[in-house]
Amino acid sequence: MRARQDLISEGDRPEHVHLVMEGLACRYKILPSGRRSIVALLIPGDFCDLNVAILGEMDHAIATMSDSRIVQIPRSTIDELIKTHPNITRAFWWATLVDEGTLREWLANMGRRPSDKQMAHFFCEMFARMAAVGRARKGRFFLPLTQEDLGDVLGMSTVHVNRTMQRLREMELLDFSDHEVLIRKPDRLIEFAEFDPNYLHLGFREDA
Amino acid sequence: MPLFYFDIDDGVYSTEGAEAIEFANTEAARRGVVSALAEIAANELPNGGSRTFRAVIRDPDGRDLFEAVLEFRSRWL
Repeated sequence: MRARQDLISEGDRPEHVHLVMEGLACRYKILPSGRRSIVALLIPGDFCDLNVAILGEMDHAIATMSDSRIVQIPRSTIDELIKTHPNITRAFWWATLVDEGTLREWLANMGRRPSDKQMAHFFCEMFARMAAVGRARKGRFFLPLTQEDLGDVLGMSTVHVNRTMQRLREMELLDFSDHEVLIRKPDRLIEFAEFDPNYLHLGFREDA
Repeated sequence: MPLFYFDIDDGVYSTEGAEAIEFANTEAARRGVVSALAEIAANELPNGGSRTFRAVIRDPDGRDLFEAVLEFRSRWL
């Protein structure tokens, strides 16, 4: 898939579940005012729409942010796996719960924290998630978002994003240019952002 | 799309020389800076009784195009 293409539109009843193999996709909604709100970013290993296997109609749209490799899995296959493989069902459930946890974190952050900490928190999260799937190296990872996209993620205007980014750069917490993020001292960024990755559930319950 | 520079001073911290941003036209840039000023004020305002927030839009040649000032004054009665 090329960059900036809709995988699925709101109202669709897709027959496939999409899985991101490479690249970056997002879940978004268009508000009545025409403004876009990005409600999730999907990185390699993320299911885009596991819920359509059960819910039917899409209540939001999904688009690629960069050139991406996306796999389509027929709904019937997902159904079959759920019926025959309890461990896979459990993994699906896990993925859905983590998606929910991430959404909760975004919601709790939005508009309730100073913009510089909110933005720093977002970069900590993407760093942790990218690192978990082997897409971050020495504090560097690829993030094909424009400042406008970041604004749609954080609920901030582009000019405010631009200024906040400048501030984080001056504080030497992070650098972001040409779609590449560089975090020189992750500990400092994590401390500044008051980031606790617990909601990403990157570890497993030993008794599970 | 044309590029615009935004200098914003919230009375404590000022950004100058941040990266330029593309907007469709000057009106879109104006709307963009006014939204930003309101957001920055919302972020900063509970601290202190008076603050002045000022934003200037410049074009790539360094010409000042637009200025917006948001002034907050408060006192106990």
